[in-house]
Amino acid sequence: MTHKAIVIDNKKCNGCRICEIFCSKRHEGKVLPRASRIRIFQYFPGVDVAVVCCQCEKPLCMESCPEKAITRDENNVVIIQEELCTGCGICVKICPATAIFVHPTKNVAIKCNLCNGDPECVKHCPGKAIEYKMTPFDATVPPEEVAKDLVTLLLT
Amino acid sequence: MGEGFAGKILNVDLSEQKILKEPLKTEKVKGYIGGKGYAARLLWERTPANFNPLGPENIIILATGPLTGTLCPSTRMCIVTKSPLTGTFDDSYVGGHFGHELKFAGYDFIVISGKSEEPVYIWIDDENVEIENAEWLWGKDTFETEERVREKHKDRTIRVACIGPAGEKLVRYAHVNVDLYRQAARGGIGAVMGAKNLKAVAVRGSGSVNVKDSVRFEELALEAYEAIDRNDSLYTMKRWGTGRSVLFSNDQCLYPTRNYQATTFEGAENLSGEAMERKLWVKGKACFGCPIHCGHLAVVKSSDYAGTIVEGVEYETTALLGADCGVDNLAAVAHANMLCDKLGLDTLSTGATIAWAMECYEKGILTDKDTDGLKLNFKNHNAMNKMIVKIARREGIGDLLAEGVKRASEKIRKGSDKFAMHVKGLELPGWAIRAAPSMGLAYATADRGGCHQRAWPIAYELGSKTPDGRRLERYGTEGKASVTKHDQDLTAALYSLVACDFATGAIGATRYINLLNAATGWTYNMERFMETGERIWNLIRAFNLREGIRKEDDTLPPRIFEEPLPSGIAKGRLLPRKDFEKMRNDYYELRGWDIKTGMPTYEKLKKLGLEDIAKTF
Repeated sequence: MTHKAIVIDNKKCNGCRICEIFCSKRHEGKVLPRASRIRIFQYFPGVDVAVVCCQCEKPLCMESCPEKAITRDENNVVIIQEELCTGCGICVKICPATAIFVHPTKNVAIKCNLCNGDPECVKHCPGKAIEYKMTPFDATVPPEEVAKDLVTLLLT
Repeated sequence: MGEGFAGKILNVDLSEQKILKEPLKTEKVKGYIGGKGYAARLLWERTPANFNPLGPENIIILATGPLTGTLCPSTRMCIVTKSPLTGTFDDSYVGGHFGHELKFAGYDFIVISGKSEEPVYIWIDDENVEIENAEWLWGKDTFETEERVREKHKDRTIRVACIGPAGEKLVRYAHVNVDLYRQAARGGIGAVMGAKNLKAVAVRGSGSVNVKDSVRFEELALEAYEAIDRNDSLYTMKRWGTGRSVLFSNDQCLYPTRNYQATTFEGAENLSGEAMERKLWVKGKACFGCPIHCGHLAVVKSSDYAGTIVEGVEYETTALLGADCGVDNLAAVAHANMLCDKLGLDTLSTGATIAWAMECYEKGILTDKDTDGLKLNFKNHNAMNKMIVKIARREGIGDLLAEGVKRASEKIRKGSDKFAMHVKGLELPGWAIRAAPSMGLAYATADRGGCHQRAWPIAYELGSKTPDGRRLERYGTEGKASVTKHDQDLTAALYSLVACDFATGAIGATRYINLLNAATGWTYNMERFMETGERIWNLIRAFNLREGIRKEDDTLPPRIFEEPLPSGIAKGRLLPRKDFEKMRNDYYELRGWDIKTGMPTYEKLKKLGLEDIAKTF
């Protein structure tokens, strides 16, 4: 099974967080990295891991939401319906990729909705580390594990 | 709250364990822009005359500017204090992500005063600010400190500025480390933190910065991104980082070698950005919101130095820990770089101090007895790396070298002051002088001592047109004072935004001024911007004079005046003392400073709106 989603090549990530800047600008109208739907985590000794929803085949967030606020839209994108979300945080805790966040001021969960098929992060990444393309449904991996693999790949 | 600013100064008094949030009065900031400029004003106002930089009366100011944390690319923060190395004003800049986070947390400036009895760190979580115990962090290196603080607060994305063991031991050139490999490195701010028993400042911010005219600001910021993208010169910066300058510098006789005895290094090719790309680099690294990504993650996979991982090696580090120590082993230099980052030392002053000690050793001024048996010859990278650890711990001779070349040479004498390469105590950086005389003037008059980042007039000597459209003769004195003053004033203003050197060429002063106006609603033009730079420069000069700096300190090491270069295109050249004095007199005159004393005149200060300061002289 394949679907269209954001695919990251973490080897190319410079850690500049320009993706966070333009993501938050698009969704919040301002530079507000703590409301960005994509986040860059830096791991010792210096690798950067982009954390963003990969639109899972069987999203645990969707299954676990007590308010049924998380759904799949007609384009297969997993979205949060803000008006139904109570900000309980269950999805934030259950996402293996830690790709759902609590909004810093509104009491709701936020996640990547692929910007209606034209993701800002893809357009602005100077390292061209982010692509929006057809990809197989992969197992969702926690960022610490991605970081470990990256350290092995790059640094040893 | 003023647009462009977060709107608050955070005052932390470590003696009284008190935290005070103070509204930022933007009408007071306006004449200084922010960043460097306003921090200089705060340092002047909030310290007594003639104070001990390692005493509780010194303050540390973490300063952002009106562009930090906005959509404008490539901004930084600066840290300001009185330097324990030079006794002057010290402003040191750092990228990474800390300054932006601080502004997102709601603060433009942190002013840290007093001295804690126990080791502490400051934890800023938006509105909540705590002074926390740091005994569990004391003694730890910078990498571990950063990781442990993140673990404690269970958040990978908080930002930490911390010191290593060198700062704790009050090494006079200890740095402040941010985001693993970025440093506010020069002038010993780490020692000032150490003297205050302050291990770290950690911050998490969840807000954003408002700008006055967001439509115009966005338009300008996107233009700035595009200008960086299109800039040809930045192609090499993106690819090779500052390491792109190694071969150019070496060809032009500007690469300090064996404690500035020469300025061409036979091993330069091994230290170049091209060599690093081939041998060390595994990925690019960038600061917050910077599309240039001048940084690179370097890994040594074989040799005695296998396992070394560091961001770099930056040009300046290749010069001082490489050529200046006669070391052309790239892995050894990368290792030395990592040790400095980790232990908390400025790579420039560390390299320069070891280079000076190597010359002392080769001349018999220091012996095996002094060095605890270390064969401290030039080229001995093994001894260099061991010495770095000794300095950070102040072990054996490391205790002397931890004082920097000025104090160390004054202590051991035997003519070693003749080749102690510093200005006002700050060890000279990686752009040698005898093949670029204007650089001598730039170092002699820089506000924080021997620094290349206040003016870099080499460009004009190598053919760039001056701001008034002239071409200068490389080895002459004509016009050198004017370009030095111009660069210093412009840089002082840009560093108040806080801009990064590597972006300014592409973004340009005019676009920066437009960004500043769109952010704040102010009405700066080029003339006022330059005048503000001049105001800041004069204010800092007044501070330095207040703290005991005199005209006699605006000078260069004797080697520059007396020893002709042994090799390269400028072979045989030195900087004649009379040429230097001519440039310096021209400079004082242009600045409206008294030629006899180097002091700003009352009229000059008054004209710049600094009458209150003029009255104190």
